[in-house]
Amino acid sequence: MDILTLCNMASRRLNNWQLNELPAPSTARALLVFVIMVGITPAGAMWFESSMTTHMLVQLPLLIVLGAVCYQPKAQLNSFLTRIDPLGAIAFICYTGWMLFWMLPLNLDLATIEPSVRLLKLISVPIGIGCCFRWLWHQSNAVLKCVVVFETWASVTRLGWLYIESPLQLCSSYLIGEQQRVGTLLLVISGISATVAVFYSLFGSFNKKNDSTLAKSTSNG
Amino acid sequence: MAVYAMNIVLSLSIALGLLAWRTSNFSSFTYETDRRNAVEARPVQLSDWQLQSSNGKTVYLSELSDQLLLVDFVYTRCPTICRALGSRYEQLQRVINSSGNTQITLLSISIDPIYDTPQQLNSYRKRHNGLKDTWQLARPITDHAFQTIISETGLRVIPDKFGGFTHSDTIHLIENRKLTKIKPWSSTDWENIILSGKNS
Amino acid sequence: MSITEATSNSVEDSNTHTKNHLNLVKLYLAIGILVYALMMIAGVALRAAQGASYLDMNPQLFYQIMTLHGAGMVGVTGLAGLAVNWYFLSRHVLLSTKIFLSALLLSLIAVAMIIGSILIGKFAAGWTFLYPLPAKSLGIWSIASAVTFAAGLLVLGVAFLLVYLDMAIAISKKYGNLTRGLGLHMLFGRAPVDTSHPTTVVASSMVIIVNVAGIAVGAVVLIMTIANLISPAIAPDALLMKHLIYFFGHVFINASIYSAITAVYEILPKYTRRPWTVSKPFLAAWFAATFMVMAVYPHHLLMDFAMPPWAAIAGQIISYTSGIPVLVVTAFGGLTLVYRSGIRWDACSSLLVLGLFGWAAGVVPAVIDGMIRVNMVMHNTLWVPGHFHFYLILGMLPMVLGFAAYLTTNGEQGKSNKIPVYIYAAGGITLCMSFLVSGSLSIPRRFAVHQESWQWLGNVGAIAGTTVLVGTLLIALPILFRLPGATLSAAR
Repeated sequence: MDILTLCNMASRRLNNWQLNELPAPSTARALLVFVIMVGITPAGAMWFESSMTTHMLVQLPLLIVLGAVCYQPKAQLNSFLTRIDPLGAIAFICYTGWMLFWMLPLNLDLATIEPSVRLLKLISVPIGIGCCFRWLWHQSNAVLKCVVVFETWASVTRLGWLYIESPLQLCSSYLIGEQQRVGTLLLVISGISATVAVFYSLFGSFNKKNDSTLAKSTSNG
Repeated sequence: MAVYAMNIVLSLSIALGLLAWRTSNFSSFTYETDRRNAVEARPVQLSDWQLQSSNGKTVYLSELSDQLLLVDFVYTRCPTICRALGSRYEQLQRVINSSGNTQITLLSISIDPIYDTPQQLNSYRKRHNGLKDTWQLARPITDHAFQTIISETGLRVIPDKFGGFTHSDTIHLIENRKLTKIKPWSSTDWENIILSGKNS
Repeated sequence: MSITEATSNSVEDSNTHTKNHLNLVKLYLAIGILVYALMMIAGVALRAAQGASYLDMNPQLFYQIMTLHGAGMVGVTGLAGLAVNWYFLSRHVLLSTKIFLSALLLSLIAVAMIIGSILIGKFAAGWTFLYPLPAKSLGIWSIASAVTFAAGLLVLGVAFLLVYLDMAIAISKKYGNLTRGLGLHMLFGRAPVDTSHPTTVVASSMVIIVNVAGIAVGAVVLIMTIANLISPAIAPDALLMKHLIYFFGHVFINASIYSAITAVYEILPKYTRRPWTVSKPFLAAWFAATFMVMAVYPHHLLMDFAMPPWAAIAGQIISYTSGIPVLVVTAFGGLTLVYRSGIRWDACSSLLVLGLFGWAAGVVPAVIDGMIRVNMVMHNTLWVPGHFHFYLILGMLPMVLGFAAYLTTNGEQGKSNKIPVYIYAAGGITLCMSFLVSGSLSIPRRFAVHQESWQWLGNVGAIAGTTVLVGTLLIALPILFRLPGATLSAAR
């Protein structure tokens, strides 16, 4: 078996992976509520916010992913959203805006100090980033999806590099050594995701006509 | 479609507006700069901090604050930035003495009150050739006093991995118990303030 | 709806679709040709300023114009190459006109930002925005103008990205994925070589792969540049920044040429009435070029003492070999195609063959520059402008103009005048030689004021540049007038 076959198999697996393999929205919703509750309680907040790594690379991603997974609007809300944002552009702005907002060291610091900002984080991250991402994914065409993924990847890379390069302690709540560790981790994430994306786009099978299972699942979705 | 375009522009401007507001027109991206900008925009009225001075007596902020107070936060075991702050105070004290301005007092407050006894504070000043008349050292004696100082100045003190602390290297200007300016220790504004006798 | 109705509707749809395709390509070409002419005027002014006989230019203005000429030419070359590539690719796969149009609009916004930062903000750090120069203006330009310039390039990158993603998705939908578009399954013997597999799809797949990588790197490095401008304390490693900047810049400009090649692949066979089909050597060449285009930029860093020797040596080897595969296949393929074919020489065919010549011969100055010993003394001389002007004036632009000529004659052969091509070629060769001779005389590049003994070469360059401009206008003006009447369909 040569490398091409392996790549093909791996990316075919990735390609066949469908949204319905995600946990059910109800489970996700329960998990999200749990994570938010833990985030509010002093002990939980302390645990999540005690280190930059758990704060940025555990709590925030958890909130984003659970927010995206549990997103399941009722028909009324859905038709309202379709009417005001048919192409997902407003969701894109919302998503980018909140991403930028929570990438600012200032807000990360304030979330550890001020309970109101902490609450804002626990609400705005799942909704403003997670749900908006899902809506945007649902509404936009393939090119825009790729642009969103591309820009998100680029931002992770930029942030990682900035954290490593900055001689300043960007977050007053975290030591500079920790900042550099988070930077390194962000670059590792960026490297892995870039590799996956390259393999997926180069070797993935997108020829839907020849793939009956895929054709079926697309018509369902 | 026109309505949609308008909505997009609207949401874009709301997003940009909120970000601009949050970052004081894209000038403060970190907590530290935000703290400085906020104080500059709106001076903070301080409560009457209770401190123990380096001669062992209890002093209150109100007793010191009839003049301009320059306040920095240090701990005497600090191997890095507090030494720079100490040298800076030594420099500023020379400027004060040569200017003849008696309306200015330098104050160093310890952020490690358990270790920094009055003796330790005195020896820190001695290390930096400080004179008692214009350079006061003090520590908050109760936990409540310490927390008040932290919350009113917005100072962040976090323990590092070597038994010390990481903290802001800024100097704070207090006039009539009002915090009016926060600037880096290296800023030349401090000389100007001493020489002109007022906050420029 | 009855079946006949549905069919007639879809035919109508596809007609308007096709028309939109063509109109957009025309728009790209018209804007492209106009910008080319303007930037040529800027270039002539630069050479004339160095010659000091015909023009007296304030050095500060010189560097602004140099930045404008560089950024403008790279941008327009990218756009023109994209237009050629998009036109031919849309014959094989379904591309979105909306995205192509938004890319143009975004590019125009980017151009406005870039021109504004240069002409109003006086930004003059060269189009390569080589770190940390943009932040060290000595008060000549403001931080805001440098940020605007970098942000302009970022927007330009997004514009290209949109089209490349659309192309990538379209190719993947039809052929399975990008490597199948590149024909790797045929190259590695998993499928017999399918001669109906379009050469344009192979070239486009390669361009997409390298340029998306280039834009990704650009997106990161430009933001780091902006971060450094806003907060000078954030000072990234200068050598790493240089690597990334040249990866981005070199890949981008290289990819533009590789995009324009599609014109040769698609049009020349019509003139020679012989097919140009994929073969194993062809596929192997494009496969190799995919890697080499991404690996060739280190010849910009051979002078950096901080580079480890092994990296410099690798850079030299790749510089040597990078141009070869596609070049050999294309130049050789082109020659065998033309030889004794009874080709009709008109503006289109002669421009395309000139393009092939420029692309082939351009390797010589490139390879000389790629040698470490030579590079150490020559890279900062006018040899290097000589090298890339060779590729661009004699290689890339003729392909674009040849394509435009083909479009405006609606594919009819022998209708266009080939005299302007001679004027253009004579001017182009003289201009490139004026640079190369200057380089071999060790005349430094990026100098606003030249020593008296160097000035005659500047004057030769200015005259030759004017000749190129005249040639371009003689070729392009009839094209611009006839462009609205072009009907040759772009889409399938």
